[in-house]
Formats: sequence, C-alpha cells, structure tokens
Amino acid sequence: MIGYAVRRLLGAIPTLFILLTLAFALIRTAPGGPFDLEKQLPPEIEANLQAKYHLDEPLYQQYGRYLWDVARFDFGPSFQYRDLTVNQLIADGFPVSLRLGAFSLLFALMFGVPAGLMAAFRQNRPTDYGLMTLAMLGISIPNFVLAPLLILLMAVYNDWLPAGGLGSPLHYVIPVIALGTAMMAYVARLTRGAMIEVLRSNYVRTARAKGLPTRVILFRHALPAALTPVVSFMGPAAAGIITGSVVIETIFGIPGLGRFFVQGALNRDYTLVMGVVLFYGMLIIVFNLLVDLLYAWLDPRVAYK
Amino acid sequence: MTKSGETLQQAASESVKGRSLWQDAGRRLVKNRAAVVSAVILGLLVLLVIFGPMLSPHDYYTQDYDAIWQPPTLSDGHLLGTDSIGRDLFVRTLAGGRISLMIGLVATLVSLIIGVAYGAIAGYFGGKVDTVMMRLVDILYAMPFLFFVILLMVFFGRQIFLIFIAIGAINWLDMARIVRGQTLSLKNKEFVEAARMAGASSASVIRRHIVPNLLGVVAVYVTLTIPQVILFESFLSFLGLGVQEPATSWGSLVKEGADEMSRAPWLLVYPALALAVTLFCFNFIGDGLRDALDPKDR
Amino acid sequence: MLLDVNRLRVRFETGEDTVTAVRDVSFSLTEGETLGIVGESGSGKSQTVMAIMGLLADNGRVDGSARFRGEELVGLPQRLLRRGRGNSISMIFQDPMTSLNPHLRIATQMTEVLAYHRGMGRRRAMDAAVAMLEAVHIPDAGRRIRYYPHEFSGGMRQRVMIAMALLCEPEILIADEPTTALDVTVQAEILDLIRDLRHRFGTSVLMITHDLGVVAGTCDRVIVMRQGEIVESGDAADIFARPQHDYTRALLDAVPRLDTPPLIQSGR
Repeated sequence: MIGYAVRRLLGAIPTLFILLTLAFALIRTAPGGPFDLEKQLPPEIEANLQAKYHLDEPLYQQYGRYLWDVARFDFGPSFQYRDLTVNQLIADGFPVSLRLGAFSLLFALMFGVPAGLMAAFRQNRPTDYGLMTLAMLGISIPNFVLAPLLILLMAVYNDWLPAGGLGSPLHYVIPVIALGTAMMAYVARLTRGAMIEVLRSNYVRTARAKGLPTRVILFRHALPAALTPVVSFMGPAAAGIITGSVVIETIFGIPGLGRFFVQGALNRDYTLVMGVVLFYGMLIIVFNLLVDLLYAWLDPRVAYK
Repeated sequence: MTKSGETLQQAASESVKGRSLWQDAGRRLVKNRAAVVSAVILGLLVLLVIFGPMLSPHDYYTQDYDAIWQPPTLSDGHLLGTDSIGRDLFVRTLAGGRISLMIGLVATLVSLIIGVAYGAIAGYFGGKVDTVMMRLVDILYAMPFLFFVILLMVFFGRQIFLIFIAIGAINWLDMARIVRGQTLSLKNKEFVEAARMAGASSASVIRRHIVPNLLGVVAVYVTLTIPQVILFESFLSFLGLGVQEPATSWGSLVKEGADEMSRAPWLLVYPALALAVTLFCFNFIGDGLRDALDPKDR
Repeated sequence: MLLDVNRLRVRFETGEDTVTAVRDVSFSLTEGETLGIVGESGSGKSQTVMAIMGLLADNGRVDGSARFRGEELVGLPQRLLRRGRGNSISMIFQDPMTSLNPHLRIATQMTEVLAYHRGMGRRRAMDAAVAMLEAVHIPDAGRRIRYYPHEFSGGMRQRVMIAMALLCEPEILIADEPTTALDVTVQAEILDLIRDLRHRFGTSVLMITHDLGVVAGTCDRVIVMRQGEIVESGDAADIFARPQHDYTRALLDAVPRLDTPPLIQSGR
C-alpha cells in the first residue's frame, strides 16, 4: 500500500509540472507588472527590485529558476509582502483555511449523512420529500449568497453571532455553515441514493432472512456500503471547499489562503499567486490519495498493490 | 423483486404498443410534480426577465437622486426599492437576470459543442486516439481552473466574452467524458454496424446515428450545466471579476447588496432570491429529466 | 404437519392498481420431506415463500394462512417472525455472488446468526461456524472463514450460504433457485450437498426452481405454479410420468434432453 501511495504521488508530478507551466505562462504573458500599481518608482529602485526578483533575466531562465526552487518546495519571496516569503505566508494562512475547511467538512458529514439515511428509510414519504427539497435548496443557494443572508439574519437583525474575523470559536459558526451547506446537501442526496440501493440489495435481503434485528441490518450490513459513495465524494468536496473558501474568506475577512490568493491576484503578487495555486494542486493530489486509501479500507474488494 | 405474471404481461403488451423512450420519459416527467412546478416558475421568470423591464417606467442605469435607499414600495413604481444612487432594483434585477441567463445559455452551448465533438470523436475512433484524448482530459481535470479564471479576469480585463470562453472551456470536460462513454457503448450496436456496412462515412455515422442517440444524456447535462455556469458567473461577479458597470448580473447585485445589507437589506434579498430560485428550478428540472430518462434510479 | 399453507394470497399495491402475485395457494410440508415449487419467473413461487418468511416488500399484503408447527405466521409481528427466521426456517437465494455482504468477513456474517439466535459468545460461535463450513466441504475452513466473500468462487459462496442457513439447525430450508446462477457442474455438486445435508440434519426442504431437472433428483413432491396459482401437484415421479396440465408438459419439454433423467423419457 505504501508502494501504491508513492507511485501515485510520483505519477502526479507531470500534472503539477503542467500546472506550474500553465500558471507561469499565464502570469508572464499578462500585461502589466507587479510594481505598476505603486507610485512612480525612481528607475534605479525599480531596477533594483527587478534584479532582486530576477525579473531582469530572460524568461526561460526565470522559469528554470522557479522550477528548481519549487522542486525544493521553495516558492520564493512575495512581491507584495516584501519581508515575507511565500512559504511563510502559506504557513500563516493554511492552518486558518484548514480549520475552516475541516469544520465545514465535518458539519456537512454530521448533518448530511443522518439526513440522507432518514430520507432513505422514509423513501417517497413526506419526510423524504421534505428533506430532499431542503437538500436541493442547499445545493441551489450559492455560498456567497448564503453567507451575507446568514450575517443579515444572525448578526445584523439579531445579535446572536459575530459577523466577521476569527476571534473565538463562535466566529467560525457562520462561515462554516455558509461553506458547508451545499456539501451537506450533496452528502445527503448521495447517502440517500446509496442507502436506498443497498436496502434493495440481495445481501440485505439475506441479512433479513437470517432474522437479524433491524439495528444490526442497518448499521452493520447496510451502512458501510451506503457510505462508500460519500467517501468518493470527499475528493471533489475538498476541491469545492477550497474554491468556496476563496469567497468565504474574502467575505468574512478571514486571513486564510483563499484571501491571499484573491489579494495576490489583484495586487499582481506573482510568486504568492503561483505558490498558492501549486500548493492547492499538491494538496488536492494528496487528499485524493487519502480518499482512495480510505475507500479501499471500507471496501475489501478494492486492493491497491 | 420478482415481477408477478400480470405486471410482466402488462409490460410486454405495453412494449408491443411501441411507445418510444421519449414518450415514456415525457410521461414520467409530467408526473414529477417538482419538475413541472419548476418548469412553470422558470418559464415565468424568463418571460419576466425578457419583458419585465419594458413594463417598468424605470431603466437599470438611470440614477434618481430624489429616490435613493428607497425600500420596496408600490406607490412610485420602484417595486423592489432603489440602491445607493437611486437606481431601480426591480429593473436592475431583471437586467442582471438577462445577463446571467444569457451567460448560462451561451457558455453551456460552447461547452456542449466542444464536449460533444471531442467525446464523440474519442469514443468513435477509440484506440490510440481515444487514449491520448482522454489522457488530456484527465490532466485538465486536475487543474484548479477557478484560479486560472480569476487570474485571467484580473490580468486580461473583465470582458464578458472572456467569461464565456473561460467557463465553456472548463465545463466541456464532463460532457466529453459522458459522450465518449455513451459513444463507445453505442458504436458496437447493430444499427451503427449496419450503417457502416452500408458504406456510410464516419462523419455521417456520427451525425446520423450517434448524436441523436446521445440526446438523452445531453439534455440532462445541459439542464444541470446551465445552473452551474450561472453560479460560476455569479461567483466571479461577486468577487468583482465578472460583469462590469454599468451592466450588471445577479452576482454583482448580490455583491452590492451584501455591502449595503445593514442599511438596505432589500438590495441583498431580492437578487439573492432571483438567483437561488433560478438555480433551484434548473436543478429540479435536471433531476426530473434524469429520473424520467433513467427510471431505474428511482 | 411441519408447514401448512392454506389459501395464501399475496397482493402488491403499485400506485393506483393492485397486482395479485399469489392467489389461493395451499400446500403442506412434512418432516424430512423435500417439496419442489416449480414455475417460470413471475409465477409467484418466490413471493409465496417470501410471504411465509415475512420478507415481502413494503407494499405487499398477505391473506390466508401459513402455519408452522400449528403457529400462524401470517399477521405475526416482525419482532416474533424475526426469531424464527434463520433459526427454525432458513433461506438461501439464487445469486450467491450478491447474497453475501461484500463488506463483511464470512466469520462476521456467520457468527452473528449464532450470537443473535443462540446467544453464543465469539469463541463458541466461531467454532460452530467453522464446523459448519467443514460440513459443507469447504477445505481449510478455519483459515478461510476470515476471508471476504469476493475471495470465494460462486459455488463456494453458495456453500457458505448453505452453511450459514444451517447454523441453527433449522427445521425448514427454503432454497430459492439455489443453482440457477451457477455452472452446470457446480449445480450438481450443490444439489448433492443439499441432499446430503437434508439427511444429516433431518431438515425439510422447499426447493423453488424453474428447472424441472433440479426437481427430478431432489424432490419427493412437486407443485407447479403459473400466474400465481397452483396448476398441478403430486408426487415427483407421477408428475414426471403423467403430467396432467399443458403447462407442466411445456415445462417438461423445456428440460434439455441431455439432463433429462431416464424417468422422464420413459414417461413420454
């Protein structure tokens, strides 16, 4: 299994390479430079800056240098935050984003799975229709719409929760709901569909014919199979969380990676933007690997050698 | 569950009558109340978005400094109130809807054309062509496109046509995969074999036999892609990277509303509602369509 | 009388209309006997036994009577029915590939039956399960009980199913098309096994099949079902020798010549 993991990670290198190249090409062909936004700099200072960041070198040399740096996990210095390296910024922002994302994932699973199970057990009855309509609503309300509406309801009209920043655990509540709701809805729909299929399966019929109590049939025999699609969904879900965190962090002023990225893009902080994109790329690759390993653990028929 | 004799016979006699897949699907779709209601609401919404602005005395860009921050009212024609510079929210919401829906349709069309062509070619020719083409799709799948789109918007200016390209370029991947899979399974069916034996060219086999048989999946895909595209455009506009002033879209309106929500909550609520209802309806219709075409999922 | 079924009727409510799957079926099963229920798919043979087991789909309704050792099963609450299932009456199914839970080890799936019906602890249940696997001729049972179902072949899985069904030494074993999904050679092995075990454990068997070839070697008596009704019943030998109903004759004709026992050939 370790061999499989190593091979998967090595296999991801070409993908990362293409990602890096595309991002590099896009950024360097863009009109305008990183120091355009500032007040007219004296030419010698600008030249100094260019030299400091190696912008005076030919493009292929810059590309080669960057490739070499990234291969050693060094994303270089930030253009905007002059005293900090991109690595330091990622080290600052990532834990914040990770916490937000992990809580959202947890929230989605904690409510999505039970809701899906409940709907499956009451298939085609009012409970089912009600829950699935709610789920559709959850999928249809974008997080950037849900977030301000929640702020309006819980922070502006009522003084229940803080609206922005990250002072206390309470500060996480609205962002986590906003980020996790759509995913919760997907999880509920997936769980329901899978559970309904499992309940019709031959082996559940066998379990019933063995005279097992309902509790054992549902939780020992049906649940593992019903959860496998949810586990597979965790890969795309993580990508969705990363995307969503860009806007959620911007709305709530949360100092995470997503906000760094948006600000980096607006400020033409090339190295920061590239660093974040590559970091996310690696993150998703690792996460997908973990999901696949978890899947194999849940389903004994899947073996990675 | 084993079917009893009667249902089997019933099924047999029904198939003798020769009802087509589409008639069957249509019947099931009409029975799906959520999908029907959604279709009606969506139809009304589209009519309103097209003709609504003509019914209002206001337009979406004129600033009325005598009527700023006006809450929704029936008295002077500002049905949904006005914004910080006195523009009519009702008309602005409809105008934003025009842009959002148009982007949804056009970008879906773009991704549809690319995806169907790509997938059908890969699936039809199979072999090495297929392997190479699908490997490319796999690699593109791994790209965090959202970030590229954001960079694109920041660096190359915020033009609507760029949004089309960007969104269309992302969404065709799914379509290509679906179409390829379907084509692979279709191309070995008897009627395609027969056509090829009769000397039909590849192009005409694809056009006359494969594409029509793909219509089902494509229909489902289109109804489910439109809301995704609308969502994505709104997302960009919300970040200030989408549609630019004076034009507007639901995403931009939600953004404006979110900025002013403690002072003028209606600016947030109505555009948000319009956006959510639209996505909701599209999703329900897509779901209904899928269930209708593939009843075993129920 | 071990099992006495009287005017059993099964209906399914599907949306607007009601479909009758089994109408007024009556038969009985004595101790040590093997009864074949024969019919094509959709004849109601499976729904008959599912009704007896209390395993019908949610929209199924049962009327009539099915008595096990004099106790009425129709209308018995699930709680009580469950005590008998897998205990006094066990069942095996057509498709051994999908009838075992792919996510659980054979050990878990077998010992849970003993734990629930017999209150056995892990150790004892495990020993009993291994012994039963040996009884159905699974080699190296002590090690293979820790396998997952996908690590067995189709025939082996059906043996596991049979072992699982016999764990509590049931009085009736219902076998619903037990060999249909298997290769011809494996079919014969499984039928032999069922025959042997019947003698060894004194279990009565309800053999449900569409294949009169299966009935020929295993059953004492046969009932033939069509469209939810019994069209013919009697001793297996009689039915093969002198089929009374056209439908039975049609079924007999459907049996491939090579598999046909001499008994049938002389009857025609």
